[in-house]
Order: sequence, then structure tokens, then C-alpha cells
Amino acid sequence: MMTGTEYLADLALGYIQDTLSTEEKLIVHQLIMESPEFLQILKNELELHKQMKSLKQPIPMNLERQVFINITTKQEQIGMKVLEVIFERTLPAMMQPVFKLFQRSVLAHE
Amino acid sequence: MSFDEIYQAYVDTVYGFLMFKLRDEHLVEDILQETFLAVYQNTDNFKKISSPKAWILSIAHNKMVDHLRKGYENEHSLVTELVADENHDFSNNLFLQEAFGQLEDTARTILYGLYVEGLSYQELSLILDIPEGTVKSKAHYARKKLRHWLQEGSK
Repeated sequence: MMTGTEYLADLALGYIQDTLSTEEKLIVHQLIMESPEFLQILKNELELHKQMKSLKQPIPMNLERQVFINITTKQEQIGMKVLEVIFERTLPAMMQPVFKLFQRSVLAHE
Repeated sequence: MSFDEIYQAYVDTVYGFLMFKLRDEHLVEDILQETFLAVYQNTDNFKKISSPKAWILSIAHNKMVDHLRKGYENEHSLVTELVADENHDFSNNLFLQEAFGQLEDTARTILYGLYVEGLSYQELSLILDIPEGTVKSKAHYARKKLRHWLQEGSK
């Protein structure tokens, strides 16, 4: 069960992150004008938001590039391996009639 | 959306999340690669997913749990790392840091998701594979504690 403070904290965080509906925003504006308790909660949520944001580490550019290359190259290599197997298995059979024609026309001078 | 676009849009989010959880660059690199490999293999289904960020983070979270189960568990807790990392802004706030250290791991993850990534309770429930009600109650308990310590710190 959500208490009043929890509801207000959710409203405050939603307001900071701009995820509230138009109706909820109106409620927040009303609370800002009328409720010192809500103002304190909003202030705390802003501070927490700021502090927590500082925990995020951006990805180093070289790592970002390297991981992308590893994934795409690996998948291309897998694709090539699959094609190789397909060609190895199917090409000799497909080429047999052509090869026979070649044998007859060139080697036997038909 | 092509894989290239998906990667550009979410790689920073996944890296930040994994670093927050693990603080081990090599392990994070491995899991990051496995995560986006899984995304690459599902690029065609991407447009059907309602919350891409939550979906990708849930893959990352599952991969991380798999790694930890295989015995890669990092012995350093987040708090130890935070205290040791002098460049970390967060460690300057001793009250908040202490409060954060008293929270359980899931609660810390929920707070990170809420405040840093702007995730909803529903999305966090999907990522952590726990009921939405549990996410809410853990979040409220943790935020209450942090608010209290924040107020103590400002006195």
C-alpha cells in the first residue's frame, strides 16, 4: 500500500524526469504552490537525482568501437563459414553435369 | 531500426548499468559483448518490443547473473569500491554513501534504474524478474532511507 509521502515522491521524481501526464503535472503545480511538504520532497528528489546521476560511467570510445567490431565481424565470419559449408556440399553436385559436358566437348572433342 | 542504430542508442546505458553492478571492466566488456550479440541475433524482432531499453537491460542482467553463477563473482562490494574511488562524486556525500551501503543489492539496482535511467516500476520488474509490487516496496523503503540520510547530511 502506497503512503502519501511515497505517492508524492513518485510524483516529484516523475516531474523531474518529465514522465508525468498533463493531469499529474497540474497536480504537481498545485502542490508546489500549496504544500511545503511536497516542496521539501521535490527538493530531496532533485538532490537524489543529481547524486545518483553521478554514478553513471560513460563507455570509453575505444571500447564502444571494439565491441561493435567484434560483434559484427564475428557474425560475418559465421555467415561465411555457413556459406562455405553450403558450397562445399552442394557445388560438386551442381557442377557435375556441367563438368560432364565440358569433358565431352573439350576432352573428347565431341 | 538497424543494429548499428540500436547499438548507438543503448550501448552507453548497458555499459553504465553493468559498471554500476560489477565494477570490473573486463567482466563488463565480456557481458556487454554477449548482450549485444544476443541483440544482433534478434534485430528483426526489435520493432515488436514495447520497451527496448528494459528488454536490452534484462538481457544484460541475465547474462550478468549467468556469469556470476559461473563463479566470476566479484568480491568487492559496491560500497567498498565507492569508498575506494576518490574520483567518485558520490563518495563525497558521506551520509548518502553510508545509507546507500546499507541497502541490499536489489534496492540499489532499483534506485539506479529509477534515478539514472528513468525506468518505470514495470520496466524494473521485467529486468529483475520480480513482481512490480516488490519493486515498488523496495524502492519506497530505499528512498525513504536515503531521504532520511540526506536530511541528516544537510543538518
